[in-house]
This record gives sequence, structure tokens and C-alpha cells, in this order.
Amino acid sequence: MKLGTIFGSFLIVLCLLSASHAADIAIIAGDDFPKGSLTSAEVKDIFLGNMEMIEGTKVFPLDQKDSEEIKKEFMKRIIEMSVIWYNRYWTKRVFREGGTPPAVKGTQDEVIRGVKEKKGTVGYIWKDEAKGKDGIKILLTLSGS
Amino acid sequence: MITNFQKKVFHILVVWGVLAFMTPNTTSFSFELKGFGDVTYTNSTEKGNDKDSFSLGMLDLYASQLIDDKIDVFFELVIETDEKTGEPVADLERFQIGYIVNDALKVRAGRFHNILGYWNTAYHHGAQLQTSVDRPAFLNFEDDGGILPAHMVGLWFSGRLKTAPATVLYGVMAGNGSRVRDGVLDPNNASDDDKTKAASFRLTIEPSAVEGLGVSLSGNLSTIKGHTTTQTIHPITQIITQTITQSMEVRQGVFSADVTYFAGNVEFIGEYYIINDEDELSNDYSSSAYFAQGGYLIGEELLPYLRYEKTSVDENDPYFKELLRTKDTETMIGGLRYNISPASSLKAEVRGVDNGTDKFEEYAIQWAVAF
Repeated sequence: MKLGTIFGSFLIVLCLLSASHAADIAIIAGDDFPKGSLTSAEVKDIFLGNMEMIEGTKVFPLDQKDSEEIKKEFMKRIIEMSVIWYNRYWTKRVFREGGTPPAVKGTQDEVIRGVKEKKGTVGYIWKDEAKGKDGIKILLTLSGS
Repeated sequence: MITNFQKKVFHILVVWGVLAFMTPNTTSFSFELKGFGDVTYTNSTEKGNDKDSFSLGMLDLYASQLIDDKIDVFFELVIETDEKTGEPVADLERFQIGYIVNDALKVRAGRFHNILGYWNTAYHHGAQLQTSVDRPAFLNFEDDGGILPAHMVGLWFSGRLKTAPATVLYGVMAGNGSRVRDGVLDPNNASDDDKTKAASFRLTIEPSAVEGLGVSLSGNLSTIKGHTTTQTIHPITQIITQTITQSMEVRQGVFSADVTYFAGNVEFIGEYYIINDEDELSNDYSSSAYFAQGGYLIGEELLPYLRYEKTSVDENDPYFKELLRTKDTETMIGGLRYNISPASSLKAEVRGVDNGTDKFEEYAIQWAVAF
């Protein structure tokens, strides 16, 4: 009985942990963003600096800190690089062509504020954080499953 | 008594201080200053030039800033040691103002790395970025025995077109052509020495079917004049008079094809160049240069690599005569790179060199950083 309780608790903790890793990520922008949705290929191009303009509007990707779990998940699901290789990519790119890497925000709220403040800004947050927030729209949902 | 050396160090420190002052990224107009640096130990067995020395690589400082929604500014300042005087020299390596029309067209004005080939724009002064200790010898910078134009001052148009089968990247540059001054290629930074302009182009195809593969064609067309300075001393007054005379003129076409492959743990770069010169009497000369470099990353840290490079020069070509480079050269390199961290690496290299007059070995160890 005691063993069963421990095993059950372990399973619950495991489920909770895997649930946090599998949470959906929302790609967001201000509600004045020129498009209503983006494909995952377009989001990848934006964060790699390969898509700088959308329908005449300059696009500004907004990143999160390397230590944040959401960044690691975003890299895995969209960019298909580790955080280290992504940073190396931007060092090479800026040195080669100029341009600027994505600005980095410290919290989900700062990302939401950032996309609302400047037209063309695209960021990513946990989808749950986007619920009930005015002035933003979800361009793409990255399922965690 | 302040020496000339101390004055130069002081000037460089002032520049450094100004740049450092601009660095804190706290206002919307601040720059984030980044850079590269390296220290290299080299041991050579070349006859008459056998040496065993530590050398500072270039201290490379650069920053890029979007100053408007569509306008960005990039600059790169290199502090290096003058080999003749041993004194530090600050060199504005790049300065470019860019305007983004759309993803298919970006216009820049300023001083750039020439878009000829892959290595020249991808790595240039960033020793930490390149796998090996040095660039291939025939791609050396103009003031370091280089035979190809590594820089250009003028205009640069570039863009990216994404289609289902492939991504196409293009670049076209037009600007001051180079000249050869007293045996050294000079990209005419301050102003052109004639009315003819140089043009460079580059076209890259990245097929969607093969992730990490890039195939490119590039070229540079220019008219290059050679100038020689002679000094005469008046036998009575001892006044020195300098006379600059034009020693040659060629119409030059450099054409290059390169293949790059970076996927998983494998990396490969291959570049082939043809250098065609036509002198004033319409005589044609053709020379070639190429290298192939491959490496395999073991884990995240160890990267063994090999490179073979060869330059075949037409010894009658007035351009190469003017550059004092009339011998064929061949080099084989084997090396091991150890990534201490994402921003720092140790490299050890063995080179077998045949420079046309001597065959010798070189050993090099480099510690490179990005910051």
C-alpha cells in the first residue's frame, strides 16, 4: 500500500513535469500586425533574420533569455537549433551582413508589452499567458504534444 | 618624452574608450560593441625565415545598430600591429549604412568585405568564427600579400528570394577598383586612382532538399594599375625626390565557384578561383587558386580538420609580377580545434608548405575568442 502510494505520487509528479514541457507556445504580435497568422516556416525565417519585412512593415523578433525553459522549447520546436548554435548563428550573421539580432526580454509580460508597443514586433509566450490579454493576437500556436 | 609608439597607443585607447562609453545598452541609440581577438604561436622551418614566435592577431571590434525602422549602420574597427614598425595601427575595416527596401533588396553604401567567394565575407578577421588558425594564403588581406580584392568602397545591393525548391541569395557591388602600389594591392579606400569602377557579384543557391548545402558563383571585374615609387637623391643638395610612375595596367576578371556544407557534425568549404588578366597589348594571362577544407565535430568540443590549398600563377602575368608573386604554392594543413566554450577555442595546426622555392613545415597554436 505504501509502495503503491509512492509509485502513484511519482507518476503524478512525472505527469506534471511532462505537462509543463508539453505546454503550448503562442506566437504573438500586436493587434495592428499586418497578417492574421504565420506559418512555422515564416516564424523561423523571422527569428533567423531571413524575413525582415511583411507587407511593407518591418518585423522585429522579440526573444527571451537563454535560461528560460520557453526559449529552449521554442528553439526545439521552431528554430531546430540548440540555444548555443542559435547564438553562434547570430554572431556569424551580424558579422557577415550587419543587422541586429532579436532583442531579449526578461519576462512573458515584457514580451506582451513589447509586441503591443511597436508595430511589427513578434514574440513568443506560453499560450496560457496570452489568455484574456488585450491588444495582442496569436499568429501561430506551437503544440507541445 | 612621449614616443611615437606611446602616442599611437594613446590614440587607440581614446578610440577604445569612446566605443566602450557607447557600449552600455541602456538607451535606444547605444551600440552593443562586440569583438574578436586571438593570440597565435608559430614555429616555421622555412629557410631564411625560420622563426619561433608569439603574435597578437587583430583585435576586431564591431557594432551594428538599427537607427530607424529601415536604416541600419554597421562598423568594424581593427587594431593590429604593423609588421614593419611593430606599432599598433587602427584601421576602419568596414563602415556601412544600409536601407532595407524589402527582403529581396537591401541597399548599402560604405566600405565592405568583397562578396567574392565564401571565406572572405563569412570569417574575415573573426579567427574564432573560422575553424582553422588562418585563412587560405591566396585569400590573405591586400596588405598581407593578398592577390585578390578583399575589400570594396562603394555601393552594395543584396537580397534573398525564397522559393519552394531553393533559397536564392544575390549580391552586386560597385565601387573603387584596386591598384597595386609598390608591390602591394590597395583597395583605394580614400578615393579611386582612375575613372574605371570595379564590380563584384555573387549568387548563392541553397536547395531545400539538402539542408546545409550552399552552391555559389561569384566574380569581380576591374581595371588595375600598378604604381612604383622611386627615390632619387640630388648629388649636391642631397634632397630626396620621389617619383611615382605607372608600371602596368591590366583588365582583370576574377571568377569563383564555391560549395559549402554545414550539417550536423560535418563541415566542408571548397572554393575555386580563376584570375584572368589582359594587359595593355591585349595579351591574356590566366591563373588559378583553390582550396578544400573539411572537418568533423566530435561531441561539442573537438573538431579535427584538413585543408589543401594550391595557387597556380602565370609567371608572365604583369599583375603577379607587380605583386612579386610569380611562384606556384601548395599547402597541406592538418589541425585540431578544441572549443573551450561557445566563445573561445584552442587550435593546433601542422602545415606542409611548398612556396615554389622551398618546402618547409609550420606549426601553429592559436587561442581565439569572441566577446
